[in-house]
Amino acid sequence: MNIIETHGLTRRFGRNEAVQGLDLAVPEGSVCALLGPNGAGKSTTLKLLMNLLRPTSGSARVLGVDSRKLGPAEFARIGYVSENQKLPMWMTVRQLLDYCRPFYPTWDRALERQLLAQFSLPGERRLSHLSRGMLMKAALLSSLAYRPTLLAMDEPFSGLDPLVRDELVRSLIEVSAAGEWTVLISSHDIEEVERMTDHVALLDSGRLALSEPAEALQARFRRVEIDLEPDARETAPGVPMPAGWLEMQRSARRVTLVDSAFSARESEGLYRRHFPGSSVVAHPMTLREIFLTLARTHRQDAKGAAA
Amino acid sequence: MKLTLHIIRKDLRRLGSVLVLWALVYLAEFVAGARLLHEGIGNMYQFDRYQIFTWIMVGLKYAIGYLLTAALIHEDPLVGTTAFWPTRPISGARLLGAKAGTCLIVFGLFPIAMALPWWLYCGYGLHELPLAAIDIGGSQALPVLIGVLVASLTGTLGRFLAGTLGVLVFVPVALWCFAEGHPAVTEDTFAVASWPWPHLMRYAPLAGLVVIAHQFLTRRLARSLAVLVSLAAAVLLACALVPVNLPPSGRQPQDVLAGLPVDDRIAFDFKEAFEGTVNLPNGAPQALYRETFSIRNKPKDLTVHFTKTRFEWEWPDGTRLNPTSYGAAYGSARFHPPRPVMDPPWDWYARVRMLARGGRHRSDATFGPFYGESDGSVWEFYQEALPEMGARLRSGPASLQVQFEGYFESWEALPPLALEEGSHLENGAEGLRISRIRWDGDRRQLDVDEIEHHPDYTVVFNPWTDISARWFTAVNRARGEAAASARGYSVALRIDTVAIAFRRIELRVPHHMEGDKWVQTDSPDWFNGAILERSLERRVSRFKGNVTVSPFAPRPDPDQAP
Repeated sequence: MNIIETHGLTRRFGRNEAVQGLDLAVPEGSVCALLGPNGAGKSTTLKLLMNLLRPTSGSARVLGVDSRKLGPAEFARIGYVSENQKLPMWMTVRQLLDYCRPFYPTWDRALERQLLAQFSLPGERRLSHLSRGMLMKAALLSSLAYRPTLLAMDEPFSGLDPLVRDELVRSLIEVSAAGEWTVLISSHDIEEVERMTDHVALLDSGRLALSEPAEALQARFRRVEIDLEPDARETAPGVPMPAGWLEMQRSARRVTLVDSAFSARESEGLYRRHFPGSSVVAHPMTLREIFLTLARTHRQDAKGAAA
Repeated sequence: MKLTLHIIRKDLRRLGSVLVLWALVYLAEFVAGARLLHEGIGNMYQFDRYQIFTWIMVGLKYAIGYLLTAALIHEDPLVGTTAFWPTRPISGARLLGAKAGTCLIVFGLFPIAMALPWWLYCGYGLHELPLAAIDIGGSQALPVLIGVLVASLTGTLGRFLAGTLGVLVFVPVALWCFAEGHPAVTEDTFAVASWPWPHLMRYAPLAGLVVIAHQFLTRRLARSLAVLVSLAAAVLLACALVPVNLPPSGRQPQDVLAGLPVDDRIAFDFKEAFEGTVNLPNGAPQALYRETFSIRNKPKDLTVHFTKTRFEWEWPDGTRLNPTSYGAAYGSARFHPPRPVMDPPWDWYARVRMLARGGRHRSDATFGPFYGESDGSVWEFYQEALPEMGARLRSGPASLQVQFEGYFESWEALPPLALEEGSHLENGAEGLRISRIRWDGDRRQLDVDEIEHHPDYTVVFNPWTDISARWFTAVNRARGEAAASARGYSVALRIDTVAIAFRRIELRVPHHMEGDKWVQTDSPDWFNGAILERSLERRVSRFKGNVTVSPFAPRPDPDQAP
């Protein structure tokens, strides 16, 4: 079952289409990363899902409810943390928790205390006096203590120094492991997300480039290095390369490419057919490398289409 | 409800520091008022300084109050996508309820609580306290409504201030343009047939409330702005198209009179009617009709006040014409007592009373002194109406039916006040003290400090409007003579419904008739042993009267004869 489903979700700001015909499904219990470069439409998508913006066309269902009809009953099961959200900065951490608590019937005081300790948050300090990392933790705490069914986070690591970012990720991983929630996290900090995500959706220029489990994604992407023998014969020019081979480059006797449809059984043969007598090494790729490859490819495609 | 109260508590905590500042302004005002009352008003310069101080405090109070509305609404903004509350289990309706509750506390209960010690200090009792509470709460309503409206359509203080500037500039200009373009609206007091402001005052706040509710419930700014523009246009259109049926009485609610006994002995007689025309300042001709009536069996020592006069003309074919069908015609009552002889008895009082306090669309007034022996009262009514009303009246013989309603008042003398410095008089929340007496030629000048519960804000700018309706009379019982006061200098200030006035009143040595000559009484001995008297109006009974005039045949107005 999907916690989030969108169909042709589109949002226009004047002539600019921030999100274009997005069809996205986030399975229940997954930790889904919504990745994309700046301006890809990640934050807009999250705001559409949280009913902070209304779609220009298309629709989204969150927890089985049309996003435009999300009300208190649904928000009691949703946690939303955003770098842009204006928290009541005049409150102390404790006052923020005291304020939020009565709105949630499922608020877990024990979890609140546990997270407070785990996040090392000073309860009596005003939010306005907290560092950015602490502030995100406080926001996260106020969104986790009622054990939401869905936790949506919009660029939670933005502007944080590496140490704090690492702390926050660790905390999230610990919390995710303990809970039974679905997490949707939008970020361009792929390395941080990679550690916890199990489903990846990639947005580019408002369009969905891909959406699949992280494991499957990493399984099908390989950075391939092909060393050609001196007398090796290359595939005749004009023979089309497989569509899944991206960013192919040749220098002297070496060919490098990214295979986006790698298969342990079939790819080896394919390489050998195209580059007979060559030695082939296929390296697994990180999400970051996959993301960069796809982003560059999409940008080149877009330039080509524009040309 | 519990969660609504939870939000209210949060908002109050948030506004706490500003509320303290607000409270300090109230406190400063009350301290100044208490000092003024305790030490006496002293002199004009001193009073002026107090007056300027209270104006500054009033300005501060309204400015802080107005900014409080922005702080309150922007605490949970309704515009933008970064607010905290929309992604929490808080509905727009709950937030609206909470904000309304906070407004009630902050702009209703808080000022009342702050003013209560001051009111008690000023001697307010069970009668004045509710009225003062309504008054102080009501005075906040319009700025709060505008503030909440602008704040709910803006997300930041900068935009709020820009929106306020827009309201302050655009709305008066738009209304002025509307009034200029509206043919029936003139500056003339009598052209009341379709005066639009009563509609505006009635519907504009409702339209504002609708837009606020819409924005809270939907958070759709563009649509709320569209609703605002549409409702503003609808209100202006309604004002332009729907004639106003002005209430027959302004500030004299009928239910106040309901408890009075009915005096059914009196009767009205028609005397004569005149017909003419009058041009308004904009050049438009208006039909002018004057009718005079006399009253029989009026109880002695009572003055007459009309609350309602209804004129209806009827033709033989059954058609009727009345102020409702042509807008409310203006009615004025003039009291023409016989010219007095200036040898009044010692209990002679001079009085002035304005019923409608200069209201724009109705200013019924009964002028002149009342003399106990007088019973030959004559009232003159006149109507100025649209030209078609005049044409209809000239179209054929008609009968006129007139209904009168009103009440009688007696003048009750308050306990006398010794004509000496420091003597004072108290009557509930009202108080009066003579702070200084001095001679100025043949006149005796009194400095009088006065305090009164006064609901009319204009008293600060025009202290004579009502507070001075009670004239003073110096009475020399030994000589059987009275000296009426003349207007001197008067200033007033207002601290939360309490009007404090400083008056300089002149008592002229009286004249009396000897044969056919006015003779001035010797001064200064006349004031020795004299006392100062004031009188108070009390409603004693009400009346209704009907007169039929058939046929209604007005003569050409002799005042307009070429």
